[in-house]
Amino acid sequence: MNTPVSHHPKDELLLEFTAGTLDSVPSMCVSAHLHYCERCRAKVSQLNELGAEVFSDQQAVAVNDDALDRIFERIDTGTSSDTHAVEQKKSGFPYIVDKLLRASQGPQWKKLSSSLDIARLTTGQSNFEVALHRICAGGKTPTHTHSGKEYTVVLSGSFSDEDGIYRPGDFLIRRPGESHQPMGAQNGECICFSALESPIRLPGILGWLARPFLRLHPA
Amino acid sequence: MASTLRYTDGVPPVESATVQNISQPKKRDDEWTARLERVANHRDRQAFAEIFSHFGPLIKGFARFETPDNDGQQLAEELVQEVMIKVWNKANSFDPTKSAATTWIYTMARNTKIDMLRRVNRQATQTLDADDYWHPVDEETPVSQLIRRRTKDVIHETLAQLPPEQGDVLRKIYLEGKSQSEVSEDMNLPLGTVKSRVRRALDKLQLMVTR
Repeated sequence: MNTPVSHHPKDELLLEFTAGTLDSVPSMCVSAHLHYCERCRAKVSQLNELGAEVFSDQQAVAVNDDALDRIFERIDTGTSSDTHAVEQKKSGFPYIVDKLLRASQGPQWKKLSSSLDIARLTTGQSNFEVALHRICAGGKTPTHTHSGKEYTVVLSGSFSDEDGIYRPGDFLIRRPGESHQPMGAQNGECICFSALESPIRLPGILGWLARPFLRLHPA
Repeated sequence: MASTLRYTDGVPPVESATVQNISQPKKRDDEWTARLERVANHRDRQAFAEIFSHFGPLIKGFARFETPDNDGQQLAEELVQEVMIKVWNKANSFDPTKSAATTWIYTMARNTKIDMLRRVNRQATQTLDADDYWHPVDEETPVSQLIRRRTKDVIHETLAQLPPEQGDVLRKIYLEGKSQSEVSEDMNLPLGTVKSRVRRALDKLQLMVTR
């Protein structure tokens, strides 16, 4: 929030985010980015207005005759599930990252290499491995090629690769086949929120059955 | 800054009066704001019934569930119930300085629909609700309120004048919940065409213009 964010999601991604058609994991990354980026927050709020206008403009559909009575009934008997428990913990990270951390009882850091740690996050889906990555100050990570799409949002510190330097809030997408070698900044460690598309994707029931075998990865 | 704060002949500066005027909600949203406030402050069932009779059928139209079991109708009614109960329960957290009443109800309907779809498709994670994705956007500043108000007026006036093919794509995305590639399959159009229609619509609506 102090320095302006310079890498943003594309407008079409923001549009799909506001329409609710973007998959959950890319949506998490957009949400994390919005925490830092006033410009994209303003865009998203405009897109919400657009959604509301399209919503108001549509063909209404008559509801059942007893719908209102049933609502009052549910309000009176208190069977409405109002789950508005707000637990706030200020870590400086985006709300969504905090919530994932709490759900994963994390961060539980594991060493990936001498300069790179990972803390996997539980998200309840199996298409992406979602995690925090921590690169130590001046740390060099090995050059790697992505087999699936990877989303990254910098949470704190900064890192750089062949293409540039990335600071808190920066939103990056690496496509399959792209290779790079991230390096931590000299002046401190860098923590990123990242989502890596799983190399194995099984649809439907097969994916569900296979999940126990994939446990160490997406969770 | 100092000059705008200086009073001349004891008359308050024009700027602050103008700002106040602009930040008043527009008339067409006023009535819903007033009713929501009556629900929040007085648990006014009559006001709630009026909100219901306008928004209930819109929420049902917005449901558009495509299910193999043909229980879309029932799910649509359930969505109306869930959203309207949230309107009742959360009316006291509605802040007319932060969002228009229609937008507040729309975003609640959208999030509830997303959660319902995940539940139906058994993709529900215990970890996150749709609301969790929207946390930061709630903190609007007074400046963005002004922009928002202007945006709302422009959108309202322009949406009706969009070429039908652009309006159709926006409706598919916002109402049917289709991604751009799903829209392209659905309408048998190249993805590039869908994207450029979206882009042109946004341009015409004067959205996404970097200020």
